Amino acid sequence: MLSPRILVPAALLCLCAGVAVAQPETKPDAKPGERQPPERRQRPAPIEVKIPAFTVPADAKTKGTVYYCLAGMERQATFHSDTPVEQIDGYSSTVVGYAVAGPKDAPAKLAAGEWHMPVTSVDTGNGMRNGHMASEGWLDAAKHPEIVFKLKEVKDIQNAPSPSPGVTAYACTLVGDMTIHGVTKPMSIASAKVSFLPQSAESAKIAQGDLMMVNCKFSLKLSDFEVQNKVIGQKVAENVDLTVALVHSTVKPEPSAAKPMEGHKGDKAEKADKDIHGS
Amino acid sequence: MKALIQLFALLCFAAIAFACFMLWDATGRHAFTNLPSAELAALSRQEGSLTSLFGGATQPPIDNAFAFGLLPGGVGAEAASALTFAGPALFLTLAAFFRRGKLLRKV
Repeated sequence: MLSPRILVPAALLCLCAGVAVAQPETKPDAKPGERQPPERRQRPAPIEVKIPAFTVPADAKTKGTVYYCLAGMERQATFHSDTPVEQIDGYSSTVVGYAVAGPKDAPAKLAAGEWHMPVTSVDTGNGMRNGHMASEGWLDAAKHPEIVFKLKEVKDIQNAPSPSPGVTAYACTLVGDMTIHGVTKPMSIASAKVSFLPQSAESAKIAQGDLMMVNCKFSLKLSDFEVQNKVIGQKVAENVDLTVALVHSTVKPEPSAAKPMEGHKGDKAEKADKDIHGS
Repeated sequence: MKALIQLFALLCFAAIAFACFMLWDATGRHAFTNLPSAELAALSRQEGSLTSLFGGATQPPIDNAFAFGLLPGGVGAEAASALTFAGPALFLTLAAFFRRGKLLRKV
């Protein structure tokens, strides 16, 4: 039987551990006893995002109107992994790239396009999980820092109902090469949508220039890109669903144009902006 | 005396296990504990700033809710889980039933 000499210290130890776990982290300048709002608490292991400089190729500019991807302003990509054990969502708002619009009578027939997303920009809401995802056993961000989609062709273009006044929308299939984990595979993304919105007083309040949005949903098989880990199929699904919504502008965004995000992400977005636009 | 301690240990474990189950059930029955992230909250606040021009939401909502999981979601506060709460309680309860100490022999 346990004696009080064991039970009492054990109970005290449990109590102390509970208090330590429940203790909110405070700012260095916070007054003693002052609680921070939950959303302002800092999380462990923030990952620094480095987006390499991205410039639109000179030959792409000769093909038509260039639309620059607006990074750091809003969520651009969502990853969803669904297994019976766990559902994991990852989000990124630092996709950079460009698209070149097609001729005036068929603007959705994009002449070129390329998008880069830093692996370390994907935030799953858990610092430890973010670290795992970028590690060697997963996407290996050190060796393959970016996920890249290079557009080759847009086909099956059809007019789509306009979702909002002034917006011209087209349903289409995007064909290109996807590079993940250093492995490049041809990919066809059906049910994509390309929408155009000419500049207006309303849109100019948010972003300058004519705008274009590319959005699509598709699924990726991790083993196709040689991402192999023993927990794939258990905690992480073999097929990961992606939802992408990329807004572009004809005006090359200035660093101040992108609204910096709060917290760590704001620093990242600001840094990304500097890297992208070189100022 | 032995039976009393065993009953007390069993009740403590039952209370902790029941509280863990209720919290796990109420927060979505997740496998791993999840705490709301400041970064995702910031991202969530910006939703619709650009895409609203194109007619609204194009992406699934951000899941940034607290979830008390069966297993710890990480170190620090995310270590709180059904396992880390009920596990030690179960250990102490089992010890109360099966461990024979000096006190018991005296009793």
